[in-house]
Amino acid sequence: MTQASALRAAAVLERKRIRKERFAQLRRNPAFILGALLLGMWLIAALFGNFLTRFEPGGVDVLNVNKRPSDEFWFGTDNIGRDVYSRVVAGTRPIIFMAFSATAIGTLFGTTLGLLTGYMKGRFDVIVMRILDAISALPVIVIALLALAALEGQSEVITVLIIGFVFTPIIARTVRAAVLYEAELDYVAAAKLRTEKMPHILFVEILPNVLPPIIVEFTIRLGYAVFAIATLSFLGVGVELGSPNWGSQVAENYSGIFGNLWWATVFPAGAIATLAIGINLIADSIMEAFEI
Amino acid sequence: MSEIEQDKLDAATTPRGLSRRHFIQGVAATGVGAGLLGLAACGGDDTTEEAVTEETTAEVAQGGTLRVGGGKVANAPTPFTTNDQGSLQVLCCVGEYLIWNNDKGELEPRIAESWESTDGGTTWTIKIRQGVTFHDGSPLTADDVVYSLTAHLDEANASTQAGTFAGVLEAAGVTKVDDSTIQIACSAPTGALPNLISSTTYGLIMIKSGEAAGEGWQTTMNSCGPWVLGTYTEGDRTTFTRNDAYWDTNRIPAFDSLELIQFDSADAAVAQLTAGEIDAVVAKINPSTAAAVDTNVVELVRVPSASHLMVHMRNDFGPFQDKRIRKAAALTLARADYLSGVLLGEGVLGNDSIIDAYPTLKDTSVAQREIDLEAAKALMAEAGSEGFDVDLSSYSRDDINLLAPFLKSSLAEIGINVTIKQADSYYTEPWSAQESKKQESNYWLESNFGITDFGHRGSPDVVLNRVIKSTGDWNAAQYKSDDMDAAITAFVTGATEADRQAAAKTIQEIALEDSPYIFLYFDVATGAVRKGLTGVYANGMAQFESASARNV
Repeated sequence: MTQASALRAAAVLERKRIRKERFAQLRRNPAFILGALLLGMWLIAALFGNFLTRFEPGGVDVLNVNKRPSDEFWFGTDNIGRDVYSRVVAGTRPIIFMAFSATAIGTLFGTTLGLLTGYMKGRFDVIVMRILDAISALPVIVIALLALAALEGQSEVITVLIIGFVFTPIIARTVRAAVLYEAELDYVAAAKLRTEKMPHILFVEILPNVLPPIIVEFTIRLGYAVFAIATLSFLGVGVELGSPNWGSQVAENYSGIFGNLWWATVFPAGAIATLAIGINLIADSIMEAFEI
Repeated sequence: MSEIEQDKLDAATTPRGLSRRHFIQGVAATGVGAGLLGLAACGGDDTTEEAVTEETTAEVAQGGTLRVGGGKVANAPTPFTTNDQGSLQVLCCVGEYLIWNNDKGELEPRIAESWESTDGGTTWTIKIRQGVTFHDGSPLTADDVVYSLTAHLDEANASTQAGTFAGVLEAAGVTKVDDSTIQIACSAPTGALPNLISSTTYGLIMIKSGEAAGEGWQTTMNSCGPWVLGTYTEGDRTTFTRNDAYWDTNRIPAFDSLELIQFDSADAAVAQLTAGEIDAVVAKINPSTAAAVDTNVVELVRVPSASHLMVHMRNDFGPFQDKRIRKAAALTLARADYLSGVLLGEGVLGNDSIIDAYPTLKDTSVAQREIDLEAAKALMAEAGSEGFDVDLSSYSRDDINLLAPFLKSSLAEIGINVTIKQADSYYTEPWSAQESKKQESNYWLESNFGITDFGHRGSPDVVLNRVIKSTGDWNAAQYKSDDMDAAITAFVTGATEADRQAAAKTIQEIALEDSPYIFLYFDVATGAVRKGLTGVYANGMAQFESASARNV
């Protein structure tokens, strides 16, 4: 074994040890456990919702309108007799799928751009970062509203793409900052000396070392994505009327609160809150564990 | 009703300068008054009566700003372009009509002091009120009144109101007799003419002779109403100041100004009313919301009406061409349950005909259509359809947002997979069914399947002529039937009430057989005012009385 390969093996072992310690720290963190439980609960609802609903989520029962929570209707019924519990469960899949997809898109493109700009620097970095600055100056909701209005869309795909697009610069900036530091380290210089190609240096050498901030950024953005999607569906864009989206449910029923018909609003609103809180607790715990 | 209550009601509803007897005769001449009074009787509420009852206001401070929550303005609020609840609500503040259709569906004289026909409804003589001025100070003349009618009949003005008079009246038929009289010569006997020229033809406010009253008019809004335009902010609100020169001295507003605020949802406006941010809601409030309002601070105003949500199924192309499929769709609807469950019984059951809204015209021997899923499935099979995907086009409004998911859920039972498409531009274009292209879009008159809101009319003539008749400019279903056309003509020109009733029955039967439209129910339009405010109500067309608003 050469000295170089021995050093590399030691570094890998050290990295594994640190990772193990961090995960152990996470598992001991009550905030992380609570967050994981909340997110896990909603993930189960998203995956197995079909088996958990008690009535057809879009099914209208005009003889059971505005029923209070009971044994028959656990979360009550809404103003047209739809079962609120079934709709909350059915609404889990779209919001989780859309939030994960949007965040994944933003993370994928943001990470790639961050790696490129942080490593290449120079004029490329300046031009790309200024463009990303311009994009990130626009609020996600405003961009989404404009785009959906322009495309006259009730499209979940468009909503996902727009949120992913707006997240890209934010994630790119975080990754770029980490890469700027990593690019100056010896292992990168060694890779260059070995005449490794740039994609190898970026994705095999640097990327594993900047994963912690990417994971944290992904988790934080996931929470934002949940709120952005809920807000857009509350505003009635991007979703069909009557869809079980949580934001739509709040929008369709919130006026009932003033008449003490609270359940059709409180349960979907609570679902949005618990999902977002769960994700944020996880993000905070990861930040703490990775000392970011 | 006690004698005293009857006197109060008479005082509130009998037009000034016209005996009650004369008034009732006038309404009866249109063949609908009794029907609407019947509607009022079956769904009326004491609150409505209180709202129009004159109260002693001497000890209570008046003045200030009256803040009213109304609907969204979709089209420019001008006499020629108005075509939606929000814009007609603006017009009813600044404008003055020949005849006002009140909260009981009765006709009250405004600019027209009286109206009569001596030849069975073909020629009508209208006496014009004197001493009325426009907001710019110029006097209202008989020439202005003639112009206010004929301008809508001029094709160049592309008025949204023109279709109401198609086949009934031509511009040459409206003439000035003298400074206080005009004459209207209809193309055929038209018993419903007073209704046709009343406020429910909502663009028909007084405009100055020769003045362009299309796009651009909203910057001045020069008419003769109780309120003068202050500012009009598109998409937000309109402010008005009191017209101190208003002709009806009993109805000169006690408030200094009026603010008409646009709301996407009447239910949201109710929240503002409950919080004390506004004084009244004149958009239609969902019954379940109305049932839950805090009656310590809010008073409900219920107005029985013929207003409704009409569902059209396109006859000339698309998946609903086959009438068996249209009938199957209509048979999936548990309409009685919808009325009792969702609308808490506030309304009248529809049997897929506009006639159903008028008790004196409706023939109850025609069987009520009820839910029958087996028959619906059999009809689908007979038509060779296993179901299909279709867009349900409309826009967002509280009552539409309830009906659309109900339709979606119901039609799913026979394999019709509905996607609800809502857009603010639903009514934007084209303007008439004749201009619609044979294409599938989500515009009202081009869509396969859609929900359209219609306000109250004192008689079914407008809906029959504009919606059901083959040549109707609002015939969204593109329904064409010679038999139906003949029945409509017989109804409109019917010399006696019996003639109209006979024609009405034929219309009911053909409507059920061909099923171009679904009429599920007819509304009780519910608005609300804060406690301590009287004189504010919206009629079945959602036009509202605010000049009489007083703090008590």
